[in-house]
Amino acid sequence: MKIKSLKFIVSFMLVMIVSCDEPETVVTNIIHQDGSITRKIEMRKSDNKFEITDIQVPLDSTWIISDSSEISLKGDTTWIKRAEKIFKNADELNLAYTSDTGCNSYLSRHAWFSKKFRWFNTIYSFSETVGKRFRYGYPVRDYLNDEEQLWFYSPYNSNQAKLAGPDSLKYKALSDSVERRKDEWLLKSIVSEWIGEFSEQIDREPDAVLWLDSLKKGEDRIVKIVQTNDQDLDNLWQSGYILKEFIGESNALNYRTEADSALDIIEDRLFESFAGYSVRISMPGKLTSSNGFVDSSHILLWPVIDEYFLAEDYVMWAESRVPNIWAWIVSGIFVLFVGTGVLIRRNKKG
Amino acid sequence: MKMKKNDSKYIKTIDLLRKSKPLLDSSGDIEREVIRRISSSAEQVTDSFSLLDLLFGWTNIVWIRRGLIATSVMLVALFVYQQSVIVNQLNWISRQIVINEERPIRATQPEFVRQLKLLKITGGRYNMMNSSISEDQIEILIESVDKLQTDFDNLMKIIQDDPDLKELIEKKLNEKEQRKVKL
Repeated sequence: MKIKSLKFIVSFMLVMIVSCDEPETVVTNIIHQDGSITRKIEMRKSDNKFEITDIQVPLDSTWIISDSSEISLKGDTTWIKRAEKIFKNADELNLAYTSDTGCNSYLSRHAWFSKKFRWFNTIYSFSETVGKRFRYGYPVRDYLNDEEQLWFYSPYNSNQAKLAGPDSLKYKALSDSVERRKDEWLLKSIVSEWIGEFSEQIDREPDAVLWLDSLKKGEDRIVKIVQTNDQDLDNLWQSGYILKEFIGESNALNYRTEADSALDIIEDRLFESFAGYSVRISMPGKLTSSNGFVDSSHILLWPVIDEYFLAEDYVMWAESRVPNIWAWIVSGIFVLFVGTGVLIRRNKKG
Repeated sequence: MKMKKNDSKYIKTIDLLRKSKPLLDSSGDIEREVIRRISSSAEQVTDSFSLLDLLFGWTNIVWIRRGLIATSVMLVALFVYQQSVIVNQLNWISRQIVINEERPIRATQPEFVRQLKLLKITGGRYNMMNSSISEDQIEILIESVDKLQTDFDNLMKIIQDDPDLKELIEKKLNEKEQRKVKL
């Protein structure tokens, strides 16, 4: 009771002091040949209240921070905070992720760097991964085709520009199709996650009679109930109708607590607040492959949105190459030398 | 007849040689001069042969020759392969979408999640279909709740980590509770 009142009062106080939403943040990673990373963060906000807990990525007092502001033609002021820090390697960056206190600190995020010597070229690879939030969800590729996936992963502004462009009808149809399939994927993943959690809860019981495989068979039944009764879900759940339809009346009575507990876990997981941001990566040498988008500064860019890492890890990766000029010269001289030797021998013989 | 003709040619040649200069005093001088010239020419031949031999002598050793040729071929093949892979990759990269925006982070949550969130916030009492609230307002509401939840969690964490603060807040809460009872 005391905890509840404490929570209520604190919540009420927070409603009073709540600031505007999180800043619009762009994180730029400049990867160097020695594996060090210059990380730059640019945060934009309509007011000058930047709090560490509002920031989407790790940031602390060890960064070089500068403030500025911009006034638009309409007279609106945008406050800009820029921060920069050099990390010795990807491990140091990962350490910053583990000690993060920002609004996305609950996420599992890590960076990875590799350098491979391939005689004529050295290949550099870098990736940043956001770990998935669901353990039993379905990959989005199971629901979207290549074109739809491209739309799904494309930055919001890019999609909006297409919707307002000359092929707007085509893109509108594509957008609608993606939204439809995405809802289907999301619902299936949530149901699958609940089934997984429910199964884990039941497994803890000594005389468990329901197993994950058998529960999975009822997945489509729940999805159908949710799809046809989406406005009355809460009542259907409270009345026990959904559970009865899923595992039968007697099991529904026996495992009601476990089912509620699994639902609470899923809700918490699903409703964890996430603040989106963009990641940009600049690689050494010539960029050879990546799964990102190229922005106007010819730097790779990825939007980081919660649905991207709901059911599978979201990996932002890039690969580049730096030619080893010395290896080109050494190889050229060697091939010329061997070729000349062979020619001289042939002439002598002739 | 033929013999006579040859004899006369021979005599004429000898005469011609005797008349031509320089005259050598003895057959010993001729011999020495011839030996000197021959050995000088042989020395030249020997020198040029040793330089080539030094540089390309390996061509006479079969296993070295084959090994070096194989290495050269492998190097050329590796170069061609690597460059062709890179050219293909660069072509692919050049076909990638170029975005004119540098901050494309505006993204809305999926409709389904928004509905679920609203259902949770309102304890299942809210019906989206009969709503007079605009989508933007719902968006703001959800964002505010998200924000509130995050701030609340952070504050609770701070309170839990600081026993003094926790004690102080509990004391204040107790005082409030007591006042309520008195009223």
